[in-house]
Amino acid sequence: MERTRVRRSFEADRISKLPCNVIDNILKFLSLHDAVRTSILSRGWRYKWVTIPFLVFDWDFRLKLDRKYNVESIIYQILFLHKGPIVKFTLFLADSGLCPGLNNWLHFLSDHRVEELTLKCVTHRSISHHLFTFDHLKHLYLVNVELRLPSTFKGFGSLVRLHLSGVQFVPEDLDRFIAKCPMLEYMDLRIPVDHMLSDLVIDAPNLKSFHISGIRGSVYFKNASCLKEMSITSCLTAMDTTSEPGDNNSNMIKVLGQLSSITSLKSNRGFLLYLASGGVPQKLPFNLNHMRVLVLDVAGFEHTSEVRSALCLIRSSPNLQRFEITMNHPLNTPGVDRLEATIQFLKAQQKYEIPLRCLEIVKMFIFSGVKPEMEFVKLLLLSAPVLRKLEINYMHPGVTEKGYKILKELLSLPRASTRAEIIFQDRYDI
Amino acid sequence: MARKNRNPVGKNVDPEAQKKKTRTLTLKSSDGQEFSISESAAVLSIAIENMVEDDCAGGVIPLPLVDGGTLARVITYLNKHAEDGASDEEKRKFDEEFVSGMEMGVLFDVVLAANYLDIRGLLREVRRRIADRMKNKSVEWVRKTFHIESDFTPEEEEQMKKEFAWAWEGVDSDVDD
Repeated sequence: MERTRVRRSFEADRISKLPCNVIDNILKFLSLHDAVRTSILSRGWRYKWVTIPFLVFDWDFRLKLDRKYNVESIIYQILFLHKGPIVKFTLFLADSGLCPGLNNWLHFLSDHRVEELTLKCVTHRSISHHLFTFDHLKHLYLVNVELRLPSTFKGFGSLVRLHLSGVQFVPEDLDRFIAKCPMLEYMDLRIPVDHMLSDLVIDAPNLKSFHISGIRGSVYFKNASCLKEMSITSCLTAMDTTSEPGDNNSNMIKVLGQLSSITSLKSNRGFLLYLASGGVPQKLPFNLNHMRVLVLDVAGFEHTSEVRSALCLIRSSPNLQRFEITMNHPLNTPGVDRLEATIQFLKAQQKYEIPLRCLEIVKMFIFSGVKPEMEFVKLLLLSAPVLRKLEINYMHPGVTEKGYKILKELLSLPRASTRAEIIFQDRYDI
Repeated sequence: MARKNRNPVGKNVDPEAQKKKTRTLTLKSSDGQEFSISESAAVLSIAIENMVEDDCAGGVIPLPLVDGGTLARVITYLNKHAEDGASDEEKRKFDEEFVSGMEMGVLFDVVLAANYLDIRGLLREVRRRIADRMKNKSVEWVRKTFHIESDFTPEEEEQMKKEFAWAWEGVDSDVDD
């Protein structure tokens, strides 16, 4: 222990005498600017900052920096002086120009036990294979980079959270990458629009939360037995799918059969169409017993197949507590025939039991009050004995006569629950 | 709410956890004050948990590095965090208020106690609070606030400022918060 001079001043300098681990962890809450400035406080502080475990060169860092300074040379300066493990490294690259330092830094960092790596680029850049040798990674957050998985990739044995946004991958590489990260619990994949992913295989035995947007083809859950939360935005359109009745080859059964632990599902119409492909059974041959929350986006009930998928999901989730649905109305008013087919389908469903014994909250957004929507509400009200709240967000703001008529009709519908409250919002204050 | 549902009273309660709630320990501060605390609250300190496990406690646990005033504060923190019904949100709010009222001297007493007793959550809160007092402040302001005496010569200081010129810009003006 270093002996410090005893001061006779009235108030003592206590911060300088704190144990190193405490000081390191105080400095970790500071920006790099603040941390580096401590080096000038006194001789004792000269090198305290060089062991800080977090190095964050984010937007804030850039905003604080006067334009006359070169970020690259500052990063080199700091990495050169730093000592010890770097638990967290964050880098935002704002300029589109080349950044020759990036691959050097990754090389340098690869043996510094980095656990949390964030790399955000404004324009696409490819990054070196050094990234794949970060053996201690727990969190990986990449934006706008291009990855090529080396054949020698051994996997990230400790990776728990993966967030990829605008990351370009050879499709099979992504499957292989996921399969080689067995501890993954959270995954958020935002596939770039110009690089939509056709198919994806999820082999992640510990995955609990999965979010994906920009998928165009199939998602095959090879191993996702722990998956609880999932949200999917698929780019499939009605043109890409067929939904002939006959449920031998139904995606509904194939996909949902792999998700025995699911508690919350958020799906857009593209994924509903994908599920509907191959035919939609009245009910799944198994129950989704853990499902509590279902949030769906449909295209204004234009396609009976979407309504079929929605109802099949509801029917197969006996413990559902909360259901939300957003009607995205198609630009062209659907033909009367199509609407009529949906109406007839929904009317026919009243004959079959829908066991919604736990459903308490229903919310409907962009509600227009067309007949199929009203039939859908009718069905829910008839089937949910403990419903507490039905919230309808009407698509036309302001009190209109049409809105009033719809409200009147809604209030007259028979309800299985004696305490169900109907809230009709005709304002966009949601 | 969800927490309560998961663990309804009388069902699936771990008997060992139940025992810890009713068993009390006595903590003795450096100035000889004694405090009773439930075992379930006390073991949120990893150091105390180890002492209890090694059974070297013998009824009274002496904490020779923590004075009575500080120990009382630490115990308030532990009790809140061991409280049955307290939600995470409630605890977060409590933590914020708990440290925001502390004067500088108290912050240092508590950070040392939390470090010695290995109470991770408390340590994090106090460290954050101390760091807040340094955020965006000039070197002179930090020296004054924490009573740090500079032992650099003006020439040395000038030289270092040049070395890290980028870090010297954009600090707040030196006013108290």
